[in-house]
Amino acid sequence: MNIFLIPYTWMRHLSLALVCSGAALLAWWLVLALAVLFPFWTVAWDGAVYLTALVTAVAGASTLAEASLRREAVWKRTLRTVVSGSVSGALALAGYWSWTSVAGPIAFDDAGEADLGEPTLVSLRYRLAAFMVCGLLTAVGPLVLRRGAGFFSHLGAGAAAGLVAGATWYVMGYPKSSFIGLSDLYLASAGGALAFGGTFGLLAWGIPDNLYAGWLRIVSESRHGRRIPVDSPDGGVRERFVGHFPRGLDLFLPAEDGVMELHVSVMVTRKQEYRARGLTLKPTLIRRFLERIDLRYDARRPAPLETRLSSGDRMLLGPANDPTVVEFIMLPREER
Amino acid sequence: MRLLSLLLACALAGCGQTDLAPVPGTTVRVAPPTASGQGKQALELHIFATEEECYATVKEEDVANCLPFVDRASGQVRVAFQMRVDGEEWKIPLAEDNMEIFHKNQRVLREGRNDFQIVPHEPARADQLFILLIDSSGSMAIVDEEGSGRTRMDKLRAALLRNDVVDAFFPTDVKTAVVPLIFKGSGVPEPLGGKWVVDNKKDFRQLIKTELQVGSGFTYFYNAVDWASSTLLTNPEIKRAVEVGKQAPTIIALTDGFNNELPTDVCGDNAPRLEKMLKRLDGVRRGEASDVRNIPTVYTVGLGRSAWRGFEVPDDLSVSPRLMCKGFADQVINGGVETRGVDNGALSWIAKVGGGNSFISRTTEGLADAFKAAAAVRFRWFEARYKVDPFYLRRSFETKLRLSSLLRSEGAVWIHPSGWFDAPPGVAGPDGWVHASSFRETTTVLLPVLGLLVALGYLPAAWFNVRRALFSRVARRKKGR
Repeated sequence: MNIFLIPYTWMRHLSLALVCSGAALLAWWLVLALAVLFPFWTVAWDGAVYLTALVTAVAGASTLAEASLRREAVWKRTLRTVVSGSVSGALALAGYWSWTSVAGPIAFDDAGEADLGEPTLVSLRYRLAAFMVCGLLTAVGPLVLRRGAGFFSHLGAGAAAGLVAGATWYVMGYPKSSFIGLSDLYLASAGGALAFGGTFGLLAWGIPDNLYAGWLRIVSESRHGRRIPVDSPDGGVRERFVGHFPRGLDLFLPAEDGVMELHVSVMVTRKQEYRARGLTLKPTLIRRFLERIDLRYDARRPAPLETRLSSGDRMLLGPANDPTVVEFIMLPREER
Repeated sequence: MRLLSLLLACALAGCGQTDLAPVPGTTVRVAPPTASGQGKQALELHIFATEEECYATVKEEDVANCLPFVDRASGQVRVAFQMRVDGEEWKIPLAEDNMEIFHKNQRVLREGRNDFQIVPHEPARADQLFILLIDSSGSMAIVDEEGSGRTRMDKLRAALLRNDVVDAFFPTDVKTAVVPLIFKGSGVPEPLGGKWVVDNKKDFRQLIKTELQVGSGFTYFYNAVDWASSTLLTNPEIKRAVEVGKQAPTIIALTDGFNNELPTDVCGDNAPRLEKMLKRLDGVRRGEASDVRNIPTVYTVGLGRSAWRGFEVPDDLSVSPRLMCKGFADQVINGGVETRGVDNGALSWIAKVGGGNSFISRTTEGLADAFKAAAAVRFRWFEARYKVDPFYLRRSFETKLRLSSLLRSEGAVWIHPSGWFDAPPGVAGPDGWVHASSFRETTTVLLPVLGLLVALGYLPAAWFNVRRALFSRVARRKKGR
């Protein structure tokens, strides 16, 4: 994964889901290849191998994706991936057998216990808990490496991934559901893997805002393309000014374009929120989809007007009929 | 760590169920098959379960058909088997009617064309003694096609003298002989020209040309079949050919109508006669024969058209007049019900119990084809294919094969499909039966989906750029600024 290829839109959160889905699908294919071409485990281990492979792949992929987005050193990425996948995979293996051999038999009566112990039985009733247990344990590896950050979102994502994967696996493999053209465990197991990775990737860890920084970029003809970051790597507050003041300003715009000495400022707060302040009586307009905000300085007010900025917002400075346009855009922090 | 090591060792070595053999190319495991037989010899219906024994037994190109196969998408199951006597392969002819298939102890019934099928493999001729049982009653002198001048006997004679039929009876690669018998009036068949065993083409042709004539009297067909399948086999010459010459007896019984023993016989009278004969024949085939390879196989050939359309042979041996004759149970046979054609119901029933097949034809060519089929090659091994609702393949199941017309002999195998995933579904052939597809088929799922995921990964960037390109244009400065 490359942060430069993931723009700051809501769709960025899908990227992790896609990567984890791909990893789970590859794990499914690997397990299938081993089962079909080089079968060396017994039928009782089919479920353990399948779920452990999915868990290992998804946990590793989630960690690797984060490390890649943060542009960590390759050896560090590899180490984190291996640790994350191994921790989750080992726990999933133990969890699978704990459910099948210990917890499951307690939960079911004698007949149910027999069915639970039948490894070839295709049944959601006896397999859903195994999916969910393994889903929960998927969260452990990434959670350890993220030092517990997003504890509940990880566990919730793991449980949801297990449930969604189990349901997908069962519905796609159910013979009576052939009306959707899918009624065998071949595609069902692939679908389950995709659902598992996709759900976990989507819910467990979203690409955080701190991987991006706000930038001011001149869109107008004059000084077109000039841009400055509004960034605070230390997490503190920072403010940058736009105007024609010849010294000490962050983004210079010519006075003949109607821009005042200190026309507008953009700040970033400790919460990684971006705000624009109007500093002049001259027209200052923030334009976004279906919204216009007038930030002209109001002398009767004790403080300048300000508004929150989102990526894509435009600041129109100067005369309304021919303003200077500066856009606010979120770009990867590494962008130079 | 110790637990992990234990689990890994267990996975590699297999925790229990170590006797299950994986079927290459599938996610199915198979338990060692079981077989049970009856008789003095160890008659065994041996189901192939492992790749090793398939490679050791069948041609290399047939190994894929030899291995058990389960396709859960279509609900089809396939196992291959071979008949063995005292551990040695026994080549037999076998058709769907001679076999019963059980899935989880439920018999697979034929409801459609593709419900089950027995596919023979590797044809091989075997030493055989063909017992030709020919009806020479007075009705064989009838001329069916007016103006042709050819009696039914003429058609039969022409069929038997055809080169391809003679070649089928006397192949060059194995030792065979023909016992030509005619039956009429008395019900006890007689050897054609007084010669019991004919072992060369020349004598056979000579006998058919000169001795095969229409006789007189009624048609004691059931008695003739009964006699040929029991008493005849005690004849010293026949016995020597069968026991010393190791020629398997194959009875080919031909008639042109109904069993008719008395002028007053009505169709319903044949029901108890047929039942008695079938039970005796069944007893012969299921009895304690000294050598199961000497048990006779019975084929029936009807000369004419079928009297009963859509006749289904029941599984038991209880014959009722209503079943046999439908609404004609009280109708006289002679000159009455026999005008409808050949009693195909009785012929089919006899063939099924006799382990053979039944043929009906009105023409010389058809008769010749029937004789050739009856004298056809036997097969080294067979595939049993069947189809059930895929719902019944969602846990381990037992497939049982049982010979229905020979000594009680059955083989069974427990098949364990994976409860979690499957190999790619099979590809349906022109006959509707699926064959295992290559593992490479998985790339048709893997690569497109991975490609889609990668493409979707670029979608946000593409959408972002497109949106900016479309909506982020800035008006050009007005002149004068």
